[in-house]
Amino acid sequence: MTQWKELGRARDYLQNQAVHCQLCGKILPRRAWVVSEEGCELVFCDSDCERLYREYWLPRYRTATS
Amino acid sequence: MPADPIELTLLHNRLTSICRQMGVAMMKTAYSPVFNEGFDFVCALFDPHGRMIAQAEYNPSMLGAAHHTVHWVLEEVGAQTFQPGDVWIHNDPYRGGCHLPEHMLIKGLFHGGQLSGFAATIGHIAEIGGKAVGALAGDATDIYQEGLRLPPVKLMDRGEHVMDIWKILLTNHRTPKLTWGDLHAMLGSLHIAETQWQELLAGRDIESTLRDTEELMSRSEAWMRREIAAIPAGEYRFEDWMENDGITNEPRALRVAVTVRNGEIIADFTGTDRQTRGPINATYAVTAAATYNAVFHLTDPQIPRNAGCNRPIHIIAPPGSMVNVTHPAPEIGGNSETHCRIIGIVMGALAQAVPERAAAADGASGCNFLFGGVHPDTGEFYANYHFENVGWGAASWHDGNDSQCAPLAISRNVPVEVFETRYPLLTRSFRLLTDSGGAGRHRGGLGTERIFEVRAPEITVSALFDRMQIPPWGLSGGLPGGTTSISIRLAGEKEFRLFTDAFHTVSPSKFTNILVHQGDCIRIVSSGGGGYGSPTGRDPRQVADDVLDRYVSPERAREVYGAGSLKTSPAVPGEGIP
Repeated sequence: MTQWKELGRARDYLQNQAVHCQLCGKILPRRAWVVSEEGCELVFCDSDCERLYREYWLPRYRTATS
Repeated sequence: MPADPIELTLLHNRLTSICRQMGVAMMKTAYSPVFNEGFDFVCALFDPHGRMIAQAEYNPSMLGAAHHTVHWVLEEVGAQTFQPGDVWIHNDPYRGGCHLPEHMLIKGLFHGGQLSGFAATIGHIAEIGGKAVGALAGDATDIYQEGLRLPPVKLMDRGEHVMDIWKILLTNHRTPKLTWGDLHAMLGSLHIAETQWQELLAGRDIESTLRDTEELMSRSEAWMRREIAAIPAGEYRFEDWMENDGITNEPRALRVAVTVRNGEIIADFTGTDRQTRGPINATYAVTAAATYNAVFHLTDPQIPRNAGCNRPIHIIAPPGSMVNVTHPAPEIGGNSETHCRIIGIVMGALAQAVPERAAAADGASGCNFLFGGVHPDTGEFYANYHFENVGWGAASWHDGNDSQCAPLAISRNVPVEVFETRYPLLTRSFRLLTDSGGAGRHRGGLGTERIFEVRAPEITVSALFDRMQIPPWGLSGGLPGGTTSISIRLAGEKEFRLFTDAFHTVSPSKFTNILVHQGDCIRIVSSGGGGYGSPTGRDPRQVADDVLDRYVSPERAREVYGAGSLKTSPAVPGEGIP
């Protein structure tokens, strides 16, 4: 399942931790494109980053990270 | 109905013209040399969604970053909160910014009461507090030492100064008058944009204008995709090294794998070293801007520069690495030094695919020299951010440019006359440095040598250089360019010495707050560009001209180019004074 989700991080000045896009690494200010998969939530900038994650990142790095 | 290409071209030129006028206003009214002489700023227009629709040819490092910085501000504060006359300020690297001195001001453009777009400027505020006078602390270990950090906050509220914010800014910057003047130059620039935007829309309706800007972005994207599709598909890797981070004297690797496929480019920086304790870390916005810059160098320069041409370029920058720093690590050198090197590695990777279009490495250091103190003539505190130009890399069709701002910016260096009028530093000499250009069939551009003499009881100086040990690489058999250096000859001494020797700094290229005194001389050498092609392939007549012009010494001509006995031109009056 995929959906836009509010992170609320941008307005939260009480914490310094950031949420990064799973693919490109950019800090996400407020909204994220969230993909629920096999019990995990993957967070992306948008559907384009999700596309590249599947087309480029997974084939290249899945073995290394699994 | 398809948009008329002539109408679209006229609109593109008009929007670009607005951005250029914004820049002229800024240049003519700013107080700091880094603005009015150095052009260290950018001006751009955005649509109501925050997508860049036009820009002028100012600082490309800020232009690439503006795409991300504006997006952050609109996401955080919401476009709907903008009212006519509101201006927001923002410089936070951990909220989409590039590095701390780059302050963005953004203003909504209204037409008929409706928000129809945004104008934004980013400018380098030369003094922002923090541990180093003039910012760019070369030995900072967290962002809190680097200066005042501003999340998006309102600087102007419906045309009125938000004095609480101004008071905080002016109190924390060491040179408040300059901050006041430079920020008002930026406000003036936004006012120009607002006025010109109204004039533009007086002759056309807003819906069709925004539709046409959408079309302009689509055409730029399609044009860029065609350009990328013409590059041979494949994966190209390259790496280069930052020689130290100012805290420990160890080199750090920057690595990229550039994949070209289906009209897209993926610049994957996985494998780059972890972020450092010292301030050479880049934010995501910096890495993105540097990547766009390298690709723009290798594709058609006529592509209208808007958000469309960025779309086919993807960046993968692992968080916590030198190309995507995470809080609270320092980052101020990431935009001045590491930025140059990121452009270089993307260029170096793509040079394997299109060597005929690429250039060898440029000098790739801002040679940032920061200084300040109490001026003996006025009694006022001054501070300045000074950078040097470098030699550019040679390409397949020409020698590298001499003494030009590193490709991250289009900045000019400050004329000696302006410099000496404002600061108690006398320029004893300033010249192109013989043999600093990498040898090759096409020679790398020359770096420079500048010698300042201190003309005040004391001045506090800092430096943030790189390329002092690892020279700019040559391409296709060309040789490396010359390296940078900063050294001091204390009053009464005969020889220049590195700061590690004279002041026991950890790094020879990155240090903070060293007190120098009347009569001391500081020598700054900027790096040259790498050469292209084997030096033995260079036309002997060009080698002879280079020797005559003192670009190349007779010894180097003989040893590297295989030339016979050649002579330089006679010495010029005053030569050798320092």
